[in-house]
Amino acid sequence: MTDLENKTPPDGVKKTSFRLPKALFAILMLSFIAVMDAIFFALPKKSFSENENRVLAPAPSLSPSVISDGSADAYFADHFPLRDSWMELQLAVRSAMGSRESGGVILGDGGWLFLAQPEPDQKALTSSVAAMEAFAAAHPEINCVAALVPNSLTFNSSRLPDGIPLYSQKELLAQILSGLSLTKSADVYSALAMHDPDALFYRTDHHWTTYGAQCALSAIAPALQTDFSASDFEMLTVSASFEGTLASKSGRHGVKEKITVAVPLEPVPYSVTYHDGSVFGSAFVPEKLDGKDKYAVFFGGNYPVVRIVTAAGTGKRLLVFKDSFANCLVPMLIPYFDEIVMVDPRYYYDDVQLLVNSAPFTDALYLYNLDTFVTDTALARALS
Amino acid sequence: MNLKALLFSIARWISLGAGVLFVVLSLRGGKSSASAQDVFSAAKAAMDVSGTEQAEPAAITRLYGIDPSSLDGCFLLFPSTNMGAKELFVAKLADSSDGEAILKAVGERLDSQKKSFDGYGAEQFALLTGSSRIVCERGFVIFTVCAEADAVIDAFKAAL
Amino acid sequence: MQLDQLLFVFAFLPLCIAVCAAMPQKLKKASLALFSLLFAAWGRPADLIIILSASFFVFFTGLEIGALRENGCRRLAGLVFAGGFAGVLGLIVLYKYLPLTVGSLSSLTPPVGLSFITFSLLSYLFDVFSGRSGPAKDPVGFFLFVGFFPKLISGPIIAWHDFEHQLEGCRISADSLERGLRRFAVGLAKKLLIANAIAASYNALAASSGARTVAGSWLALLFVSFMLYYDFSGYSDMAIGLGAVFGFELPENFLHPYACDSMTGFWRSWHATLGRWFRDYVYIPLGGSRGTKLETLVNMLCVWFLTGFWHGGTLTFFVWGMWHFALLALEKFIFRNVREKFPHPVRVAIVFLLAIIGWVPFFSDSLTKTVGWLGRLFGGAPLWDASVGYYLLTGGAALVLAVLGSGNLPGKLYKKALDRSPDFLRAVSAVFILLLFAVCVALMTGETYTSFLYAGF
Repeated sequence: MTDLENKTPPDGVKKTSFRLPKALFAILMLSFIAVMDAIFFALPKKSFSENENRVLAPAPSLSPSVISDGSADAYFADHFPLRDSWMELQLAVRSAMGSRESGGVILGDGGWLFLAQPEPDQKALTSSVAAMEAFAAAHPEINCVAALVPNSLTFNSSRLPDGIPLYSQKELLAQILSGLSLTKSADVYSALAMHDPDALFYRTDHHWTTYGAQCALSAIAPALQTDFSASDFEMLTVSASFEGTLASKSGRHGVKEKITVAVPLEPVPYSVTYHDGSVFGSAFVPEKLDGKDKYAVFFGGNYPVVRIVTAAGTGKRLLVFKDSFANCLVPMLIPYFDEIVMVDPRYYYDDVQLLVNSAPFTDALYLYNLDTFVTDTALARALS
Repeated sequence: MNLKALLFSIARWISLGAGVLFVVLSLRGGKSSASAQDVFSAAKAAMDVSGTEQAEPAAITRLYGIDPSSLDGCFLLFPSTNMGAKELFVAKLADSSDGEAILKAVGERLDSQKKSFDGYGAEQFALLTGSSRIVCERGFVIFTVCAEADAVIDAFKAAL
Repeated sequence: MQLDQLLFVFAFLPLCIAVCAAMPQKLKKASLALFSLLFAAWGRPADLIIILSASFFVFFTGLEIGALRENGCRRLAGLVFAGGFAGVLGLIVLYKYLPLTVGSLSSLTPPVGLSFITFSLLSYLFDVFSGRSGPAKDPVGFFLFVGFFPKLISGPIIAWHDFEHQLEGCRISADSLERGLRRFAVGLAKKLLIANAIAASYNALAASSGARTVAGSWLALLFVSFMLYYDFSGYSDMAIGLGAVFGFELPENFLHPYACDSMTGFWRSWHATLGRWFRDYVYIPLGGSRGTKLETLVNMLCVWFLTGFWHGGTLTFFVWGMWHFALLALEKFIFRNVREKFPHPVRVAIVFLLAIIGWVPFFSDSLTKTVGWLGRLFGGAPLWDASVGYYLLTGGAALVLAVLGSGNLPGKLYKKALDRSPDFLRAVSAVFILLLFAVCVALMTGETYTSFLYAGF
């Protein structure tokens, strides 16, 4: 019988044909699993994820309750080997299959990320507007100004995926501002629309840049009756490696941006007092530039109350109801007011009336970005 | 009827009984129908309330960041002075309210209290770290800081 | 625990395979049963008590029926059977249907896989009472029949008389691992890569203004039809694959239903094990098609009433059941000869259309929404909306892949390649499926991604 296994090539050397293992796939898959498991057990576990900006799950207790409380599931998933690389792969796969959104963030062209629009809460909007008007009526001596800032996708429609369903922030703004009569409204939309959208907002963060805030001031400052001028300030770059909230939310990393701060050419001395009594000599917190949340270089983040007392000598005092967008704008108002008090109603639980009575305010500013404002209930609660 | 069938019959009825008992118990384990006031009073009775006072809704908002109107009743006993740490908070969750959010707020309250007393008030810090309890059960959330924390929790569960 | 979680694939499964392979033959079933217990209890330990007490109840009922029949007490055996039957029905009615009407019961959550466990328990009772099978003497084997982790959550439904013979064949071999893991990985890819992608597009479309257009309603219907098919058939593939790993042959559940050219064929290919269960335990005992046309119709009506009801206790599921009853009755009695007149592709298209229209009530929360959706499919709404284009673009790739994979073509191509060069195909397919598996690992990791936004947000 001829040996079919060993065919004899012409030069007479015997060759055995290579036989693939029968259980080829099983071997591949089980090896893959074994390697992942080995890495999982061998590698030390990180306690914090830079990319996701959160504390990773701690080791589960070795008690029977581990069956029901999900701690083992969370621990295994959080510390799964090469987690960050798997995240990148899944984003690549889903993008290849056509997905243009990830984690509530729209993946735009050119590295741009946009926060998906929240559904406006009409009830909340009505009560916010009513509260603002009631406040203006109760304090006729205070010049009340509303500055609502549209978000980056309003000015970057060319970078958005085609046909993505969005509502017009311009129309929404017009609708909201039409309800304000006692409160003046600053036309931030037009002020921003005049400039190059690339410079107005961060690509990987939902905030506007200091330059964007400066452009808006050309509309807000006249409403506040100050003689603000952009030429009074010098723009300093304080960081070139900023990666914002939207990169963490979406999982799309790789873009690093610059943060600039505006410093007045003729500095006015001032002090910043926080809600816990601590006093600082600057609105900027350089230590935050070493961390992940670099936008917190402005005042260190959001606090219930921040009181700025200056030596400007203008006789004007400003009360600001805000969200985080105001943090990079308010430093540019410092030379024009004797006192600025910033209140973030989301964290402030005391009586606002006490605050209003604490100083003879001449002006009040509501500074919010639309994405926060359309669902905000804290302002109405604080003002009531 | 033969013996085998009888034995199987008994086993069958026992299994059925176990299942029915379990269903009945799990039904009873649903939301408690007790009122927040009653549960709070029962828990309060188990602790030494000297140095505490009852809080107004505004104070609850200020200290916990919770809107009392979003709950089906909540009560708070908090320290009368800055140097006290004894506290009792009882909240009944409304159908729509989020137990997770309330637990988070209570946890943050405990953390901020711990931070305040760390290094300044050894006694208070010890109370906060060793004798504080947070429990969420049958639609109720309780947070207590006091020497008799275990007794308070027992009274709480009994009142549900 | 779910079959498409990281902890299952990388911890539970390899551990189960290792332990089961290491155990001597006598203990293999017991280890599988223990792992199945752990699987059922994971994340929801309270469920286990119901599953166990129901299993023991039926187990002892079976033994009692057997003992009574041995002694000739047929009437008593019948009573015991009726009691068992009522008990199992009572269980599912209590957990699945009463909470819909009785408010105070709404806190009762059904144990995982209850709907499918019911089928297993009833099948056992019927088989033992009818004498088709003897009662199980070994509680481990019986529990494995009820709670075998691959099929616990969503089937395939296997009858006791088919499963009991397989218990002795429980073993792991190189061949079982190869066949089983391949099937599992393919099923995982179907679910994660295709079904989940389509689901995301569907959910976004349903919430947008596009859903109120004609084109949007059709797109949503296509999304839903393929999402359900890939999710369910992917899960079935995973279950069958896992069963195969341990030496069990679970029946096929999906046989390219969307490529069938008759409604009867469709229902032998869509959730095939469900249809078979109702045929064996309801239709045939009632008389099947052996009587008059009217009797046959009544029997079919019973089956479809129960089928709709089993899927859910609301009116929309009843409508869905009646829709398919009507189609099957018409096909069986009136259009039997008309069908031949149409060429095969046309028949497939018609059956596909009729089948997916049935998903409208299936996926609607209420009859009003059903009527609304159906109305929009046939006009009575704006034709198009820019957002429909967006969802077509973002969900289109997954939909196209789904459509291509749902026909008979890929299977035919694979067979051809298998005949030509089996080794080459084996190597290429192994590498390809491994890559798919890697993508699935990435997607599973992605499901667990959460980001905490800064305090300064």
